[in-house]
Amino acid sequence: MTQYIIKRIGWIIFNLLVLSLIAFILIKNVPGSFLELQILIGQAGTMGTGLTISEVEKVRGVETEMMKRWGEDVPLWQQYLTFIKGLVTLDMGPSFRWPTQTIEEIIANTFPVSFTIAILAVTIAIIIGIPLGVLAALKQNSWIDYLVSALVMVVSAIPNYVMAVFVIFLFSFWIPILPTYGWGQPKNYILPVLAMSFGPIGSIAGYMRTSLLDALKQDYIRTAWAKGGTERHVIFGHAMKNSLIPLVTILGPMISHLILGTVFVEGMFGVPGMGQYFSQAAGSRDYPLMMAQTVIFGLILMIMNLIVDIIYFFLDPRIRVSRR
Amino acid sequence: MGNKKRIGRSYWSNIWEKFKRNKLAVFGLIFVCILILLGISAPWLAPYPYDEVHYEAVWTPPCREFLAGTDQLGRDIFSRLLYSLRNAIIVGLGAQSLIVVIGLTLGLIAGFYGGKTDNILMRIVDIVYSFPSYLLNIILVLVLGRGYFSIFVAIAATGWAGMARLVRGQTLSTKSRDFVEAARASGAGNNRIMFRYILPNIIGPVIYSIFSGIPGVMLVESGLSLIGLGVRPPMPSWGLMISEGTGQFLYNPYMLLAPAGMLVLTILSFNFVAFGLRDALSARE
Amino acid sequence: MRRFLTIILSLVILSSTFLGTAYAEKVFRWSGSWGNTWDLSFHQGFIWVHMMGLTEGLIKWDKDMNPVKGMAESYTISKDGTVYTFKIRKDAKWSNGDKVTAYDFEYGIKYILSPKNGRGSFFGGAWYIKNAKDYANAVISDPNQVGIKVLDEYTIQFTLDGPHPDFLTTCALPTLYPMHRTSIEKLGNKAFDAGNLVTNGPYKLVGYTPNVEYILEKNPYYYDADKVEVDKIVGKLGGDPFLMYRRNEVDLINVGAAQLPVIEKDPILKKELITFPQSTVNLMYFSYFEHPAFDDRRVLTALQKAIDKEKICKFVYRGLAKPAYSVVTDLIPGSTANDPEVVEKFRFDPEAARKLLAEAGYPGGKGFPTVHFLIHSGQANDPLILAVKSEWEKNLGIKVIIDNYEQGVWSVKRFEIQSEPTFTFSGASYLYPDPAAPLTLNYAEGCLVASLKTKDLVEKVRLEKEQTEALKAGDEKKASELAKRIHNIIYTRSTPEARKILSLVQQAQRTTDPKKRLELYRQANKIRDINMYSSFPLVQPMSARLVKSNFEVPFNKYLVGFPVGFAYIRTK
Repeated sequence: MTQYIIKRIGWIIFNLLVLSLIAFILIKNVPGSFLELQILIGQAGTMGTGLTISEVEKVRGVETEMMKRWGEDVPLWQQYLTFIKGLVTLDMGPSFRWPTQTIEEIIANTFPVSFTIAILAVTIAIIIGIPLGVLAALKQNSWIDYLVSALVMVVSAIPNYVMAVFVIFLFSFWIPILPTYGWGQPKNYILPVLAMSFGPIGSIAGYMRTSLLDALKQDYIRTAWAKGGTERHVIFGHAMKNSLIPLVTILGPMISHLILGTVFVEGMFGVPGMGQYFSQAAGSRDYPLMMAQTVIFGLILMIMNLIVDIIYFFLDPRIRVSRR
Repeated sequence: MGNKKRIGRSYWSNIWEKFKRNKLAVFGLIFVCILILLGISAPWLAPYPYDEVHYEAVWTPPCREFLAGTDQLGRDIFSRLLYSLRNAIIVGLGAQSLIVVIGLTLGLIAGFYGGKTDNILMRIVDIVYSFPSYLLNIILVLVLGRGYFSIFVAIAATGWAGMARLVRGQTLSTKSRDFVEAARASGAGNNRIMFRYILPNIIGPVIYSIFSGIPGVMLVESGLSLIGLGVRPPMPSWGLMISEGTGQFLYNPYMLLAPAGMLVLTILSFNFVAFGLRDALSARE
Repeated sequence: MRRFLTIILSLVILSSTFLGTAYAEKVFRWSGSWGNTWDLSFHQGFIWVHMMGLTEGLIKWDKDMNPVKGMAESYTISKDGTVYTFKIRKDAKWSNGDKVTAYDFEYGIKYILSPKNGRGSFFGGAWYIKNAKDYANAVISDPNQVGIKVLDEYTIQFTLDGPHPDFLTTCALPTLYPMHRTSIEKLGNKAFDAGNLVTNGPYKLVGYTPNVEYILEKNPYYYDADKVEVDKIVGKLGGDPFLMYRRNEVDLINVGAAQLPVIEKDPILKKELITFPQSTVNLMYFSYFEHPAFDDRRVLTALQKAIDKEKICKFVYRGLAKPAYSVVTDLIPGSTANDPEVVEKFRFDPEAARKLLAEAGYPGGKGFPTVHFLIHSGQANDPLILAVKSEWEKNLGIKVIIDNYEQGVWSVKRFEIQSEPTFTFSGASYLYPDPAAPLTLNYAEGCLVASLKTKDLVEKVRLEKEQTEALKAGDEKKASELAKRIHNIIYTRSTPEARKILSLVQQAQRTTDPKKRLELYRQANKIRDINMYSSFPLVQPMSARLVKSNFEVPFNKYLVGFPVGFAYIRTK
C-alpha cells in the first residue's frame, strides 16, 4: 500500500510538471499583456481619444521597467524555472493584479473558504441525496420513484449560476429571511451552499438509486434474503454498504469541481473564495496567478483522485486484486 | 459475414426493445430530435433575425408579437433562443465528434496493441485526465481566439481522455472474445480486426458516452459565454442570455427564465436518452 | 406555516432593530465602486475611493465641486503662472497621528509618477509639472529633475512647464496625493493593506476583503473631523445591487434604463431616484485601415447623419442620455456641444445622409465596403453599438460586422492595421470642469494624427512599429530617423484645421487671462467639432442613482457619478 501511494505521488509530481509546462507555453502565447490592459483601464476612466498611438509607444519605455519588476526580462525557459522554483519553495512572488498580495497569501486566504463551501455543499448533498436515492430505489417504478427521479434530474440539470438567482430571490426577496450579500457570519454561508448543493444532490441521489438497484440484484443479496434476513438487515446491512462504494468515486471530482466552479456563486453572494480571483486572472493577464491556479487546481484534482483511490482500496477488497 | 450481420441486428434490436420500454427515454429521444430539427431550421423558423433591434419594444414581456419577449435592445428572445439552441447543438455535436475521433482512435490502439503502446498512451490519458479542464478551456480559447472551432478544440483537448479510457477498457474485454480470435485465425489484419470486429461491439457504451457527454459540453459552452469567451456575440448563446437575464430577474424574469428553461430542457432530454441507453445496454449483460 | 414564517420574520426584524439601537453609529453602505489595490500608483477603481474619503490633496473639492483649500493652508502663484507654492496646514495629521508634511507630498507624487511603481494615471495635473512626464515614461531616470521642491517642512513648490490655471483643480485629483513615507518604507507592499494603510483624509481603511467589500471608518485625526457626519462607510464590490437596495442592504446604488419602469411604478423608489448629467461622451472612432471612402468627408458626414441619436436616447436609454454632437460635453466650459452650427451639421437626417453617400459614389450603399466594429467582451451587451449597426444598415444600406474579442486580445488588436474599415467604441470622461481637461496638448497633437488620410495614418503606424523594433534592437540611429519621418507625416500631411487646433491650444496654454483663454479653447472646440471626422460622438449618458431617503449625497458629475466625498454625506 505505502509503495502504491509513493508511486502515485511520484506520478502526481510528474503530471504536475507536464501540466505546468503546457500551461506555461499556452499562457505565454495568449495575446495581450497585463501592461496593455493597465493602459486600457487608465484610459477608460479618462479620455477616450486622448491617448494616441505615439503616446502608447512612449509608454513602452516603461515596459522594460515593468518587465524587470515582474521578472519577465529573462528568457522564457528561465522564467519557467523561476516559476517552478517558486512553486517548490512556496515563494511565488506577488500577483500582478493584486500587487499587495503574494500568490501564496491569495491561496492561503481563499482556499479555506472555497473548500469549506464545497465540503458543506457536498455534505448537504449526501444528507439529502442518499436517502432520496434509497427511497427511489426501494420503491422502484412507483410514483415516489418517478417523482424523486424527475426532481433529481431537473435540479441537477440547472447550472448553479441559475440556481443561485433562484435561491437568492426565494430566500431573500420573496421570503426575506437571509441576507443577499456579505461574508463573515454563519448565515452568509446558507445561500451559497444551498445554491451549490442542488447539482450534487441530483447526481448523488441518481447514483445511489442505480447502484442500490444494482446491488439488490447481486447474488449475495439473494443469498441474504434466502437466509431469511429481515428487510432492514439485508438492505441496510449488505446492499447499502456495497452500493456506497461507487459513490466514493464521484465525490472526489465533485468536491474539486465545486472548489473552483463557483465563480458566479461567489460573485453573487460575496464569497471571498478562489473562483473569482482565478477567473479574473486570465482576463487581466496576471501570469503568475494564472500559472499558480492551473497547477494548484491540477494538484487538488490529483490529490482528490488519490484520496478516492485510497478510500476505495480500503472499502472494496476486490479492487486490491485487480489493481496493478 | 452474414452470420455476423444477424448478430449485429439482434444486438441492436435487443437494445432498441429495452430502450423502447423506458417511456422517459423515448420521450427524451423524441425531444432531442425535435430540438435538433429546431436548431437546424432556426434561420427559417425564427420570426426575426437574431440581431434585429426594435427600439420601440425594448423589454417587452412575452406577447403575441414576441413569443418570449424582447431584451434590452428589443431583440426577439424567441428567435435568439432558437439560434442559441442551434449554437449549443453545433458546439455539442462538434466538440463531441472531435472527442470521439481522438478518444476512440487512441483508446482502440491502446487497448488493442497493449504493452508499451498502452502504457504510454494511458500515461498521457492520466495526465490529461488530471488537468483542470475549466481553466485550460479558458486559456485555450484565449490562445486560439473565439469561434466555433476553437471552442471545439478547447473542450476536446481535455475531454478526450475519458472517452479513451472507456474505449480502451471495452477493447480489452472484447479483444479476448472468441470471434476476435476467429477473425485473427482467418487471417484478418490488425486494422480490420479493430474496426470491423471490435469497434461494432463496443459502439454501445460509446454512444451512451456521447449522449451523456453532450449536455456537459453545452454547459461548458454556456459557462464560457457567461464570462465572455463563448460563441461570439451578437450571435446569441444561452450563457450570454442568462448573464443578461440574471441582473434583471426582479423586474424582467422572462429574460432569465426563457434561456435557462431552454438550457435545462435540452440538457434534460439528452440526459433522459443517455439514461435510457445506459439501462438498455446494462440490461443486456 | 405562515404563522411560523411571521414569527421568524418578526424575530429577525426585532433583532435587527435591537442591534440598530445598540449602535448609534451612522453607517453608509453603497455599491458602485470597484478596484483591487489601495496602492495609489495603480490606476484602478480604488484611487477614486481614495479621493472620496481616504486621501486629501493640497486642494479638495467642496460639495458643489469648487476647488477649495484642503491640506493647503494658503498658496501663491507666480506672476507667469508657472510656479505654485503651497503652505501646508499645521493641524494636518495622518490617521496614525503623524504630521502631514511637504515631504509626504513630494514622496507621494514621485511614488505615483515612478515607472517602477504600478502604472501612473494618464491624466491631469501631474503631467503639468516640469519633467514629470519624462520621468514617468522612463525617459529620464533622476527624480530630482522633476519640478517638485520642498522648501521647508510645511512648504512645497511646483514648477510647471507652462501656465496652467487648471493645475489648482487637478491638485484634488489622485495623481498629486501625499503618501505616508515611513509606513511604506517599513512595510513595503503590506503598507497598502487594510489596517496598515495610513491616510490623511476624513476616513481610514479598516477592513478590505477583495471582491467582497471594504470598510472605512472616521479618521479621528482629520482636521475637520467634527464636520464628518457618517461614522462608517461600507463599499460592496459585488452582488445584485438592485436587490440589495430593495432588501435595505445598501443605501446607494447605480441604476440603469432596465430598472426605470420598476422604479417609476413604485412611489417610494420614485422619490429616491436621482438623475443628473454626466461629463462623459460615448463615441466611436477609426482604427487603422486604408480606404479612400473614409477620406471622403461626404461619406463621414453621411455616416454621422444616419444615426438617429434622439431615438436611441429615448428608447434604448429610456431618457437617461442625450444626443452628443461634440466629443466635449456641455458640462465643460468652452464646449460647443450645443452650438447650432455643429448640431445642424450632424443632426439625424437619413435623406441627406443617403444623398451624400450617393454623391460620394455609393448610392444605396452599393459598393461600400463592409464596416467592422471591433469591440471587446465587456461591450458585448452595450446597446449603443448594436443600435449604431442597425441604424447604418437600415438607413444607408451598408453592411456592418461586429467582431467581438476578449478584452486582452482586443487591447492588442485595436492597435493593429486592419484590412477592412474598422471602428472601435469608447467613452470619454472629463474629470474636472475646465476647458483644458479635454483639450490637452496631448489631445491636440492627437488631432493632427486624427486628421490624416487613412493611407497616411497606416503609414505612420507602420513606421512606428519599425521604430519600436529598432529601439528594441538598440539601433538608435534608425529609430531617430524614423521618428523624424513620423514627425514629418504628422505635421505636413495633417489638415490645416487640425494644425489650427494645435496652435490655438498652445496659445491657450500660455494665456493667463481667463476670458481670453476660454475663448481660445472655445474656438478650438468648434473647429474640432465641425472639421474632425475620425471620431463620432454618439450620446452623453446621464447618471441615475437610488439613495435611501435618510441620506443626502452630493454627486460628482465629472467622475462617473460618484459621491463628491463621503465627508459631505448628511443624514436626515
